Amino acid sequence: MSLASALSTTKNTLSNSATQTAVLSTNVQNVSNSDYNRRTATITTNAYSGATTVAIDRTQDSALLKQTLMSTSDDAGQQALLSGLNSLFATMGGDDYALAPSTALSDLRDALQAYAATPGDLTLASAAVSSATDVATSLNTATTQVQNLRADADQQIATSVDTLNKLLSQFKDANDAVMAATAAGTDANDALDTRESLLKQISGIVGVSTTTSSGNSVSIYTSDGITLFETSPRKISYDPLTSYSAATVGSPVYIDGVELSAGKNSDSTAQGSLQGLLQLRDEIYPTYQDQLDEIARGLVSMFSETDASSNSVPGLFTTKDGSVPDYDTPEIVTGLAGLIQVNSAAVADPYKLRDGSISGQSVNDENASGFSTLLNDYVASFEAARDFDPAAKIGESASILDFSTDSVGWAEEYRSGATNASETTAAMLSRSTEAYSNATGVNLDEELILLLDVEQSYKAASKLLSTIDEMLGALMEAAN
Amino acid sequence: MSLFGTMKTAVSGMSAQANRLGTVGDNIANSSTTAYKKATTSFSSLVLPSTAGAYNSGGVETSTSYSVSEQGALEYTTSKTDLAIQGNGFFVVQDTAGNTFLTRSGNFTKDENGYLVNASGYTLLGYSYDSGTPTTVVNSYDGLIPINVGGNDLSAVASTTGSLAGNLNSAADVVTADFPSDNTSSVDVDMDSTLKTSLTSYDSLGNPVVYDFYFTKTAAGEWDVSVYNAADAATSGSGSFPYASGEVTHGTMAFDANGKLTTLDGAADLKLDVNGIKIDLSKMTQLSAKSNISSGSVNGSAPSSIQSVNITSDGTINAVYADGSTKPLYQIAMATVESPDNLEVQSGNVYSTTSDSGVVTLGFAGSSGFGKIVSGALETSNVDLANELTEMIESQRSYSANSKVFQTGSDLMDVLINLVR
Amino acid sequence: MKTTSISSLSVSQAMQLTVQSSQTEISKLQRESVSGTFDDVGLELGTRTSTSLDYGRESNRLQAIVDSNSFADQRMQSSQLAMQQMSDSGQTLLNSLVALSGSSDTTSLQVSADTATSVMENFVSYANVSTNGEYLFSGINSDVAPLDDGFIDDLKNDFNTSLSNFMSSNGIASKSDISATQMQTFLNDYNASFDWSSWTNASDNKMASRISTSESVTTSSSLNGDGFRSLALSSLITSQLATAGLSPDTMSVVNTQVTTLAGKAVSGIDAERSSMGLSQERLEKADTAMKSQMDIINTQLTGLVGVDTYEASVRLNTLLTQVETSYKITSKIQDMSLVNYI
Repeated sequence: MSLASALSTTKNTLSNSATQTAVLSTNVQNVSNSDYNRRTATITTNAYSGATTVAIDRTQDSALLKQTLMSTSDDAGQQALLSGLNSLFATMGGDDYALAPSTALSDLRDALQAYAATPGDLTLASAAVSSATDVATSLNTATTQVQNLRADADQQIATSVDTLNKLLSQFKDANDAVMAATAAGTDANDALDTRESLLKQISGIVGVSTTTSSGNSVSIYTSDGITLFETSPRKISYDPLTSYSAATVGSPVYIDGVELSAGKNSDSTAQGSLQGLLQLRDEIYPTYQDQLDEIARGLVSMFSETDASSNSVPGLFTTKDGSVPDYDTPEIVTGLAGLIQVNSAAVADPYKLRDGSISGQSVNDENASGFSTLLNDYVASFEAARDFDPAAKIGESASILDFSTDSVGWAEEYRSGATNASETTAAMLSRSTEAYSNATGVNLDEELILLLDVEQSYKAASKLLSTIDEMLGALMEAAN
Repeated sequence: MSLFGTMKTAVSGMSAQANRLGTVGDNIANSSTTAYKKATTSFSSLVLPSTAGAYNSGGVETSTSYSVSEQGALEYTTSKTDLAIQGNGFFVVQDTAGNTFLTRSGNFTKDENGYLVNASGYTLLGYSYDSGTPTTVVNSYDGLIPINVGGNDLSAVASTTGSLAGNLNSAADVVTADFPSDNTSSVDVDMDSTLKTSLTSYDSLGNPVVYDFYFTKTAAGEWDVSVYNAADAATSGSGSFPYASGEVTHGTMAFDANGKLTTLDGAADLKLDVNGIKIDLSKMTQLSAKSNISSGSVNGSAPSSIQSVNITSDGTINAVYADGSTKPLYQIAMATVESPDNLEVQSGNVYSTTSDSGVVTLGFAGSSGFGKIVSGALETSNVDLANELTEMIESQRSYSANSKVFQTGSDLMDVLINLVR
Repeated sequence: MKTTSISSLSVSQAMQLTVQSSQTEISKLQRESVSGTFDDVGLELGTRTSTSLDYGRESNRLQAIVDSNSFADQRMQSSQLAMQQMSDSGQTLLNSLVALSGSSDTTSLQVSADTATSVMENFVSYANVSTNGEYLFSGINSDVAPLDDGFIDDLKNDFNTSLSNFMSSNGIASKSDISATQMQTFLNDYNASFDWSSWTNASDNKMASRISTSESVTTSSSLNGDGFRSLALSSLITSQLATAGLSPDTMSVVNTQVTTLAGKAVSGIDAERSSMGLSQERLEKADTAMKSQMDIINTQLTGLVGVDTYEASVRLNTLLTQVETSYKITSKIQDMSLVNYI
């Protein structure tokens, strides 16, 4: 080998050192970027051409990536569920459950108790009727709030679906870029970074599993196996509804024509926020609404009176639109909690409550003002067992007070389970991202040490260069 | 006269050294030229007949030879179209007039018409892939055409084959009504007893066509597959059913006791024909695990233009399209002669065959007798500066020595002439 | 080639997460150490939240019953007082009648008549006594006074009219001519036909109150009782006939009759008093039972949602120390970077 070839080898070394330095500086720049995988510059001999080149490798760990995606979906689904349950808890009035129907019911019972002690007292009579109004109001308000929560969940689903569609079209661009760069042999690493970060964002919305096919193209399927992306994104369709009533059924989310299933249980099986939101909108909130409706039905039944032809008619509690629900059969009357109100005849003349003559026939035969039999019966019926529809998920037979507190207990059990599960998923997520970051992230100190190495080899190459130059110079001098 | 003879010998020596210096100059001037082969001078003595007692000095004959067969070092560049030959062989190029030459200088770039032209202006020749894998005409330049890698023409590749691999849950419930092949809106796709997946394929015009595959369990160990065109899917209401047109194809799959697919439609050919595309289903299994598809692929590509070319070590020029697929376009022809050192050197770093060099033999790189083509590298000249400078010093000293001899002869002549006065 | 297994990003992020979760825990412990109950009851108890709500409701209910019992108690006490007065005046009448027996002294007869008149007036005023807007002796008809304003006069008129009718139908010229047997007949007839309920506005049904979760007792009285009837009747007859100038035999018949009636009055009113006393005793017992039940429930509720404040504040202090230590270590780790040494 001649001096000229030594010179060209030195030239090669210098340019390789420059490339290595560039790679190290890119790494240092992206120390805090969680979507960046560390690039390694290794000197290799190109087996095909024999040249020493710098190969820029991107650190990958597909097992840890899969773990990170799974824990991202789990946590996103669980957090979506938990925040929905916390909103439901807020409608109940916080720690002392001041706004829950159960509190209003026990206040009504106490007011009736006081009224029964002195049935001739108009103040106590009005107090009892206004306490009943409070119960009706609390049921109406709770219904409105629960349906608003459903509408909120619907809106969030619509936003998530839009985001998902956008992310998938961006994913197509990134995937195409990766495929083109891989085929042309150029540096695909930046496109790979973009593609991976899009995948992480997608997994927050819906759980994913991926396969890599030839040409470095990635196909995405949901954890149920529905195709999300395969060469091109699949359509995700959703019809949002703007307002919800108790009878409204939310529309499903279709991915590639297949319906996305909702999560189940308090430690939710939801993968991604969409399934968590669907669970809230279609299972949890409607069940709570059913419980409210059953309480309303129980109230109408308890305070029903008998009219002249011995038929049972609604008494203290009636409906806003005048419809008469079937309140004796233990079956949920959807939306009753939003319609229930106190009969205006009782508000006008509270004594009718004592006499049972709000809409029925008076049982106070002597028209005596101390008649407390009916009132005492009302008070006793708060503790009497009634039949409830088991579809409300609380039980078939309980007293109305126990039913109302069991409704609170049901919601709190869900929330407690969801909170504990969310702690687990959050911890899992932080561990997974930490492990992935440790495997593929940049350590500043290590980069600096490698930079020292590169500096040394650069110095050596430049020394070689000056030596060769001297040798050639000596030759020139000899030729003078 | 021996004195005159001496002077003439000295002159011959001086001119020989001058030739040598000339080659040295040439070599040093071309020490950076791509694939320059150094010229060396060799001297042979010219002996004049001499009689006993009277010595007739002869002279020196110079012959120049080019060390064409000596490989120069490879220098790596960033351009893919820079080619170098590692081993024997020459590129076959032609000039603007259409004459064919051989060269080792491979610094080709794409000109405005798309032809690969090197720095000296010669166009690379090769065989085209238009009629399939090319073969050489061994001893002539017939069939060689200038290689053209330009063009913004689009080309699309229609899908012909594909495959689906996955698992169908053996513990799933059997579906007894509302099969996907019925195309009613009450089909229940629960991703367990009815699994849906889709694949993107390309037609001959390059349009993407998405096919929806529905796998339904009809009996224990038997699954049906229905294929629909996804463009016909229902746009309103629930899901994709009912499709606007009927199913594209239908197949019955039977699995054995180990969960392996044994027959499709009763035959052992496990490829499902979807509008001419053969989808290989042999990797579908029926085990007791969740129904899902693990991988699916279809060949073919959408219309795309040539993004770049890559050249392999056997000289095949592949066009790389924007979507990553490749297509071979040309194969570079290599030529060799029996005695490369006897090739006639022309300007522009090219050689032409002579009767001394032998007849040209054509072949492809990598086959026997030929070296391989390295893409992204250039062959540097095989001139060693140190060597040339040494030669130069040697030649200078020899020239001085010869001139000294001339001087001495001339002095002696002078003495002789002065003798006569 | 990667030699380290830690990335700089994970180090800094791990610190962030630790700090965040510590701060949440600190504020939760703060609240618990001050309030003595769980910071988030529903979270800790889950489905047993309904139990804690049930306890609270039970406790409130018992308190409400205790409160409403005070009304019933007050009613009964006032009734007792009135009835005691009525019984005393009945006794007074009895005493004066006994003293009168056999005597025909006009002065003492006048005294008896006056005593009877005052007894009747007392009777009316005590019968119409009301507390909290309720007439105590009207039974469930508690918004109407049992005896009307003109009760005494109407009663006297009624008696005199029937006496005049009796005399005219039996051909008796004046009261002093009535014989003992005639008087006896007249008095028996008058007693039998005296429809007391038509004279009072009270209802036969007495007011009942729920005094505990399982018991209810009668807590008022009705003037329709026999004792009150007898008192009214005896004082009426005495006041009208004592100074009517009857013959001594007739007088002694009258005397015997009214003495019997007065005796029945006193014993009847006393019987009412004792049954009301029984109700009062049961109410007291119920109050005591409910108060101790409330204590039990409150203890159970504390057991369910209570937190040991000492333990909570100890944990709080430990956590604060740990957080401080982690801050110190974080700052040291940040300093340990090769950048500072190259």
